[in-house]
Amino acid sequence: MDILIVDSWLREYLQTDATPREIKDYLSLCGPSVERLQKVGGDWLYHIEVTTNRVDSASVMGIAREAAAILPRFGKKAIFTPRLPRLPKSPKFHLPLTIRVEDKTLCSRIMAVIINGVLVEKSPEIIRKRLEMVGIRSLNTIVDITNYVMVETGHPTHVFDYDRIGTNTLVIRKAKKGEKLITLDKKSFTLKGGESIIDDGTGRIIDLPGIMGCANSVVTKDTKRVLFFLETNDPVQMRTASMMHGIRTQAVTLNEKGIDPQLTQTALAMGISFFEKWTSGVVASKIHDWYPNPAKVKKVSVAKTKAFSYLGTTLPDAEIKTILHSLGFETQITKTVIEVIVPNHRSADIAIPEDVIEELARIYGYHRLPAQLPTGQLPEFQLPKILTLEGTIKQLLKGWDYTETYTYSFVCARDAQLSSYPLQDHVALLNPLSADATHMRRSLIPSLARTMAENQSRADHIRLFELANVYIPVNKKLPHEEPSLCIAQQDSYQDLKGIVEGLLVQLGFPEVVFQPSKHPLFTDNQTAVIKINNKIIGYCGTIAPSLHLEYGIKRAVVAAHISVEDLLELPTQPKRFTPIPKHPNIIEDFSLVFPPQTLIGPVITEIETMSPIIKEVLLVGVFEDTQTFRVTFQHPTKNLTKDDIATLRHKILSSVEKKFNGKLRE
Amino acid sequence: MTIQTLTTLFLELEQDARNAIGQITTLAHLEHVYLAYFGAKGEFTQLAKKIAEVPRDERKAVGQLINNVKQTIEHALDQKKTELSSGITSLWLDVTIPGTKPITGHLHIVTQAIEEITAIFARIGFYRLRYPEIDSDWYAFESLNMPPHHPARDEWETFFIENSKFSKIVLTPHTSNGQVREMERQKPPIRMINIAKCYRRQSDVSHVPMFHQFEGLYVDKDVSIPHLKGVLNHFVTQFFGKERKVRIRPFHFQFTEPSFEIDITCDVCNGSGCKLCKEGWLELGGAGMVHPTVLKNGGIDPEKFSGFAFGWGVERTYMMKQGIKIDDIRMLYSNDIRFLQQF
Repeated sequence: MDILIVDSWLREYLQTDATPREIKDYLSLCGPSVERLQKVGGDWLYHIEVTTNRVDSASVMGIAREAAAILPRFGKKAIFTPRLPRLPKSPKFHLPLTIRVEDKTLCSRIMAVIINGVLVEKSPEIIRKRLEMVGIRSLNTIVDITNYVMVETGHPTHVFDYDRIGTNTLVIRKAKKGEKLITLDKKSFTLKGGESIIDDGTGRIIDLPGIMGCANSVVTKDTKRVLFFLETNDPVQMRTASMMHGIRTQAVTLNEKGIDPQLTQTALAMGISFFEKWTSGVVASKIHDWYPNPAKVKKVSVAKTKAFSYLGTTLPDAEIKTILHSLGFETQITKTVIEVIVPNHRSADIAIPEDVIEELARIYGYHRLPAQLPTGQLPEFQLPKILTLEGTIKQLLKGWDYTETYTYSFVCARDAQLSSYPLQDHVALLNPLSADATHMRRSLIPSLARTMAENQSRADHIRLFELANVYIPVNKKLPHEEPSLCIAQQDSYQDLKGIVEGLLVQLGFPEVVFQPSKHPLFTDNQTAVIKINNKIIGYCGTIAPSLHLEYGIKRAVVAAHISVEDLLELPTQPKRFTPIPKHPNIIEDFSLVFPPQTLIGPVITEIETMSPIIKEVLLVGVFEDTQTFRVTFQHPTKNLTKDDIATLRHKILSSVEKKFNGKLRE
Repeated sequence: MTIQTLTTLFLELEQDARNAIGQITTLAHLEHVYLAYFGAKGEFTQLAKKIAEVPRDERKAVGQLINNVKQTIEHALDQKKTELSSGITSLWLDVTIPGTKPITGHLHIVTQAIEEITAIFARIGFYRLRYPEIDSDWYAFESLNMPPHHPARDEWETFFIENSKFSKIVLTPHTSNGQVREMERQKPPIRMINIAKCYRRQSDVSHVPMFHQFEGLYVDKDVSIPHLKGVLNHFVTQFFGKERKVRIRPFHFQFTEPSFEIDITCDVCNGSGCKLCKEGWLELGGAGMVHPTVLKNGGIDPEKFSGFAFGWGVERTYMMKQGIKIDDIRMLYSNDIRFLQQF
């Protein structure tokens, strides 16, 4: 939480020769981080970030206490000089007040006092100026006192108009569902049930304690008698109620972090002294104090070996004492153990040995500790295959002129539907940031098609790829995250297929099969399923006309979508050595004519697998209906004769004719 | 004739021959030059005959010299002949012509940053892993000492997944979900870098709803704050450069105790203070000594082992590198080809 501290106000609690600049620098190194130092009028304002566990230092008093411990480590004088007003004695004349706590889990302490004869006026200039510097609007003496006490001590406080309560009774209880209240800023709320509320004994709600007062009981310009009321609320309850109703006040920001109940008394006494001084009010009731379970003395021990192991160095007892005492701890140090008694204001955050180590280390100074690389044993480890595989794919595609994209994992409902899976088969966000990003994608194709469309006017020759997870919902389990690859471009299908084949060969899969297929993301009759060992690993082809239309793509996009996870599960073919042939090969071209729409892939496979002597079959030319194949013959142990070739030639031609109705061109 | 005179004559002849060969432009010309030296009436042939005029006992030395000269000239002629027959010298080459560039693609800067980060940590034995992006509330928060309703959860603007039947699932707002998962997978020593996508409900010039983090986790016996400083120094000097300094300051996270904020010196002002930094320092990210509750949740005895952890944004860290100035982080995910192809 970010707080503002006024330098002159801080110095009421801190006697020091340190300059504001020094305070800023040294606090940041060992305590709360001072983000900015700002000159305001003749004063200085510190912008300080207090961590959530240190609500005790979110006040003028708290920062002064920290500064008093830290500044002397940098050679500065610093003494903590808290204002500690005493509680007044009970007056002879008592105004009646009954406080009833119906649910003891709601708060741990309540203190209250009635002040009679207050004057609702303008506050003294110094009060107004200081409150305004820390961003609080000055209203009148009464309200300003509650805020001034809160900023100074870190304890939220509240005042009721005693006469507006009417019944002299406060009942602290949990709200029932459907109860209504109007807060002091005139907003009405219907309660969900379970919120901590105060009613006046008749069921009329007069306060949402710890969060915000109610319009029906706040002070007005005519107020004469006030009930000054402080309570220590259950932090979880505070937070839940405040989040549920969206009411975020400075009070609740403090209350939800847990206020020290011992502080309640200090804050009450301070408030009373201000009422007496600035409003001519007088105490008109006993000091009410409901505190069923007073805080106990808390002790924490830490073994010296452990502390010194964390620090990487040892500290003499005297230094340990100096550090801990400066923070308000009492210590008992033996040869092996440091035992501390935790001061009240730290009882919420100091619980385990490591907490004490932190106090020692930060005040000693992290900047004074050395830097050493760890020397311990190295763990046994094998890099996950998926990471190696992805790295290889990225490097290869980069070398082949592709640009890598990173598109968002979440897509809009429309893109999700375009992925060919119904919307309900997606992992959906409960609280999306915008309608553009509501579902975790199941395909990378819509994202890449969109990217292609966005870039089409920026370059002519776009080749994109992305490696990312797609997300598959799994019943009663975490969704499955499947690493996938998408390649998209506006070149020919043949180029894309060559890239996919080349990629798969490099990854150890020389035997890849492309078969005509159908897929909702691709155009009919222009789609191939990609298989290895008869397992489908992906699809490629021209993306569906609906995608072109949806994103306004002007030139046909061809794409491949491959499950990288599936590749991981397939056996790769290791590179093997084949002896370099001693005998020359023979190369022969065949120009064949096929009926229209004959698939050439199977023709090549047919010829290749016909004889071990056929080493390679290439498609070297296509002219009208004629396809020219270049066949390489090679025998491992002998020279091939004319007769050998003639036999094979005949075999090829007869088989191609029989199976594919292909004929040698006349 | 003295041996000195003859030697001088031969060396002069060699020099003349070299000059003549240098001026040859055609094969016919070359043949002509050859004959001018080694033909029956050639200069070399004539001069060689003078060996007879040298005293007998010195002839051996002269013979050696003559042979060397002959070989040198013949070699120069051969070289010239190769040059002429290959046609190389007949061409004029414009050495300033634009080169034909190889086709190259571009890896996204996030990929490049991840590769660099991975390599830097690998050098000190930290291995890379990738834990889930969508995870249970247990791994993302609760096992990290953040019970439900804890205000510390506010710092992560978390996306939740629609799911009524199963316990709460989130898009991980940080890579720290890998901490307890890694403790369950591997007994100490642990030296992990978990790099994965993360998600937070925020989008402005310095935030994107999807980003990447790298999470370091080291668990062993006697792990100290100086060890953390050592690892930070290693990373900062390797990634940002030797001149950059690093410091740690107190902070608070629920899953580390003590916790730190890490600063590095600003590259613009070199630590002296300027508009872009806080008095010479830039915030790099958070770190801390692993909280004993987290170790316990990972099945590790905090009495025997301790550790440290840190988790920072890949994009942010990369953009803090010298020379890379991108004023709107959302540019990284715009996928504008004019941006992507700059890297």
